[in-house]
Amino acid sequence: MATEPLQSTAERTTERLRSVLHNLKGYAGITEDQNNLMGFAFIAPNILVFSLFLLGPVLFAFYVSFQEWSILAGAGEWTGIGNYVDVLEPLPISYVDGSLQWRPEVFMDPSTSLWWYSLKNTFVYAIGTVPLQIFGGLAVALMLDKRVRLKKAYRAAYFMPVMLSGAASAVMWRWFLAGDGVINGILPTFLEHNWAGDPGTALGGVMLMAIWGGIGSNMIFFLAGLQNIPEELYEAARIDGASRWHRFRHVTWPSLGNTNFFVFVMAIISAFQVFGIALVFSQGGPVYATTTTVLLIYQRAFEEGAFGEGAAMAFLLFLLIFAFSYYQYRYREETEVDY
Amino acid sequence: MARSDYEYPGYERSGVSYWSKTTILYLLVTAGALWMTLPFWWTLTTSLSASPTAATVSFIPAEFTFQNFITLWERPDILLVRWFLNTMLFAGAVTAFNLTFDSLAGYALAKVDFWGREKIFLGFISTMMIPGMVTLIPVYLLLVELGWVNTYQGLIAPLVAQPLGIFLLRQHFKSLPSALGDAAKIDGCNEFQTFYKVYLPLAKPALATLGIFTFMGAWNNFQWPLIIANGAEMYTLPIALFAVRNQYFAEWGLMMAAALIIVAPVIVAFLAAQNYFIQGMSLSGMKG
Amino acid sequence: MTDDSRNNGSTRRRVIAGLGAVGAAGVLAGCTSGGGGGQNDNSETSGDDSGGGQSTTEGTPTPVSADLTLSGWAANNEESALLDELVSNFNDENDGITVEYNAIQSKYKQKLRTQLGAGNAPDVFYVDSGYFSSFADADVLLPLDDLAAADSFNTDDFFQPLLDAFRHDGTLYGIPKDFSTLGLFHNTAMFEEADVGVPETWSELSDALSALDANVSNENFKAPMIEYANGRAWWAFLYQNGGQVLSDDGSEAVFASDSGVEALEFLVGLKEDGLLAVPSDLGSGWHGAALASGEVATAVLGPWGLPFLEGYENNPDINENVDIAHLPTPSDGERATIAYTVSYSASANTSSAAGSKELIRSLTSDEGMAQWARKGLALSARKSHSELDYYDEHPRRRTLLEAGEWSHPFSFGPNSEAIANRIRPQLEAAMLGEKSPSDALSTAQEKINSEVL
Repeated sequence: MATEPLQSTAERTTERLRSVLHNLKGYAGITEDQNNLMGFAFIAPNILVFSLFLLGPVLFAFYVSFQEWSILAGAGEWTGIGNYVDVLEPLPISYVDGSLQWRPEVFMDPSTSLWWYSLKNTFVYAIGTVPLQIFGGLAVALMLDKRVRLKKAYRAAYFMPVMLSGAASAVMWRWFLAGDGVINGILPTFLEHNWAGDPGTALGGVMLMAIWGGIGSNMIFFLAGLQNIPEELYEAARIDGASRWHRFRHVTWPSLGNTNFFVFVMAIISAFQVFGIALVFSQGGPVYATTTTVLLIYQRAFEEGAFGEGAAMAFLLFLLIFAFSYYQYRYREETEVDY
Repeated sequence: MARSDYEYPGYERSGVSYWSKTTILYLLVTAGALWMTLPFWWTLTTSLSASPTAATVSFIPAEFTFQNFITLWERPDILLVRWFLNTMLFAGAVTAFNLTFDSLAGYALAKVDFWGREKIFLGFISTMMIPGMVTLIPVYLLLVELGWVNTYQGLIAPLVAQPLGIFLLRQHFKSLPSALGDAAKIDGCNEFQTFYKVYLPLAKPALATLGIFTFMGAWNNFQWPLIIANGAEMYTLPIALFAVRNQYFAEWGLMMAAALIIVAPVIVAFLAAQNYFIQGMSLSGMKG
Repeated sequence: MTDDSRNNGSTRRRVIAGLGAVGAAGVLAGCTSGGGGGQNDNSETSGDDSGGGQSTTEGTPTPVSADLTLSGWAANNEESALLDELVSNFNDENDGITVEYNAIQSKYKQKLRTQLGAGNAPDVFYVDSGYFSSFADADVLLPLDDLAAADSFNTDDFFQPLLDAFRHDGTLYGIPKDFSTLGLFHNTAMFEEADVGVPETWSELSDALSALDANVSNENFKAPMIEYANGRAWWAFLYQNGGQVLSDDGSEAVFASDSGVEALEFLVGLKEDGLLAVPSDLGSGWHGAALASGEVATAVLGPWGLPFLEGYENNPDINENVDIAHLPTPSDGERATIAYTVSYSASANTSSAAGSKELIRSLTSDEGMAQWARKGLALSARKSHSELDYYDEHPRRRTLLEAGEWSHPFSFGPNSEAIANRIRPQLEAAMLGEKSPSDALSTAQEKINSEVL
């Protein structure tokens, strides 16, 4: 029988403190196998820049959204959630006679509420461009991953629209889509239309330009992602007799999971924040047809000097984008295979 | 070296099915490529034409001339060389810093288990969801306090670590097997060596991608230099596009010429980076 | 490995550029620090002679010493070249003051606002009458009353509507640097062909346009008149018809009155009858191009169209054929037009109030403004300048200059931009036929009264 050395009071106290600390850490999620020091060392420079130039300004803007703040005069009256209320009213849902009523005209008529109308424009734009950009980019990446002659030339061709700055391409496309422009010159006469000047089609013009300019970048992301799929997986699938489509569905697509998450989230973020091309193409017109939410924020905050209201809109938009992206994130967490 | 799903041993490169699929493939890819590049062709012809009016756009310039480029060179308010150098410095520095910092952070967020990792990651990408113009004012005020307005450091510093890069690299590192890192650690590497010697070389496609996007973003960025610069010496090249834009009407030839000058270096950078996009991952290190 | 060579390349680039940066920093360091001496407002305002000179006067002359920055947008490179010239003349004539001119190529208003908010603004800068009131309201501009009061400056010589555009709460915060008005540009050759005289009333205009539509045989001709979808001419028609945008005390919007609706109905009516086209229906993007290429016979346009017409190479005859008349008025209305004017103003935080005022004085003095006017980019803001030789040689500009007397500046109080932003889309809706003119205007008015004012 081994005799245990007696512990002094100090030692026992220390041990008890350690176990308390251990439990606390457990509550906070700190576990033994974490490498906190190295982890933080690796992200230190980013944290520094992030805090100074991203997080700080975002918090400042959040603080400002509760006031009537103008760039020139600085702090104004504190309105609490007044800015938010002003932006959101009138709501598309109303409580009338004891029942909820849906009011779609809030979305349809810019005169009722420009906020909801611009949100509708942004949604339409996102639905119209995101799927085509993503799947177009994926299709091109797959096609150019094979042994196609002049692969590099094709890749450069698809990437060229991305390399042109947004302002330059918006000017170019407005020229092409004008009543007397090139597009109408090519189309047969019965299809000719004033694409850029008609409120019904102006947003379509912006979307066309966005798809044109967006396929290339997604192609590059997917190409990078496709590099990481090991050859062995394809071989194994072929040995098992899987057809081309099955190989895509069960090997390529899941292995692209991480890239997909990136591409989807980035596409959502850029689509919801579309601004530059709408501004240069048609300045938000005609008759608010291309007024997207960020363009509205620009007008309110920068042109009209109502920065507090603009900041409130920006945070509402943020909540929306975050909701979409967080859903994507949770979906990935659940389906992800860490190997 | 066979690499894609299509180049496996035994793949038949003959027969009707092969040729018909290949033809369709080429047709589709070429049609798409034409749609992508025809506007550039018109840009080129416009820049080489003498004062084209808005409505006439043709495949061959009616009057072939280099005058637009010469005018750009000679205009005293457009300092082409100076702006080109400024933009090179700006884009080059931003890209270099981003590649360094973002790969470190991306690796840590993907492969190093530390407290608060996921929350910090979400925090990083959340800032991308706020429109940049809203943070522009506070950043500018901060730089005024620091006295960095109209300086190179003021131009570069806020863009030095972008969430886009962290996001891209984290995803890329996540898709690399952890087994590699475990093997390296068993062999005695510490975390940084694992990163530098094992994972970073495998991240070349992502690094090349990030590099080209960061370079391009900084190169085409005109809003930030416009705000931070107080004089023509600090401007960057995209501002030339506005300098030729007469307030009242657009001189298309000059504008297209300016657009081409601005986009040319990006094309060069892309062609240089293309080699790194495609690099198969050799798993030979894992066997045995 | 190739990786390393890439890194070396960028390092080399950075070293070279870094040397350039050091050089640039050296150059810039000298420019923006304000020299402090001589804040002697008294010596500056009494006894100014035109043509720039030291502020030497009776009493104790203390030379003003300052380093100033002057900012403006660059409408085109001619304007910035001229300003460079004026600035270097000023620097030569005033030993103590050094002025550096920075042209801001784009987004001028945003940048200026940001700089003013951060306390980092240039000393002297352009302020457009549209956003002038919002700046003055925020106390970021320097009062210039003492400059205006100086005898030799002769503020009576300015068109009063222009000076009033830059007064806020009774104090003057800016001196007009130039202005533009809208006039009726017309193609005299086409008018002759259609056998029509220059219209002086609205009904004469409609008749003239119908006649032009029927008779002009030019192959490029598409429509008698062009106007933007957002109806720029409406603003002038509103005032001609006796209407106003805001009530006299500026507290509410009143443009949806009968006067305003009639004015818009007139314009929309022209479009519905096919007598007026918007740019997207034509090949040209703006009035100047449409006139020059012969697609239209008339347009409501300002003096900025003239340099384009004068330099139009594809059709050198066009310049002789285009003449300008005053805008036609409604039968029971009065003459009115819109003035687009810009001032030189100084920052309230300027490093040298005396120096800034001296610079403004020199640029807008009789001689300074005449030099500016002779370039023909915009019109001189001084009435007496209509006698200048320059305007003898350019009578079309003289016509536009005269209209300054009855012009209304495009400026509606501290919320000008918010107001204009809400009116323009409604005008577009009416012009494109989506809404009736009275609906459009009353929607805009109601929005403004509830959201802005």
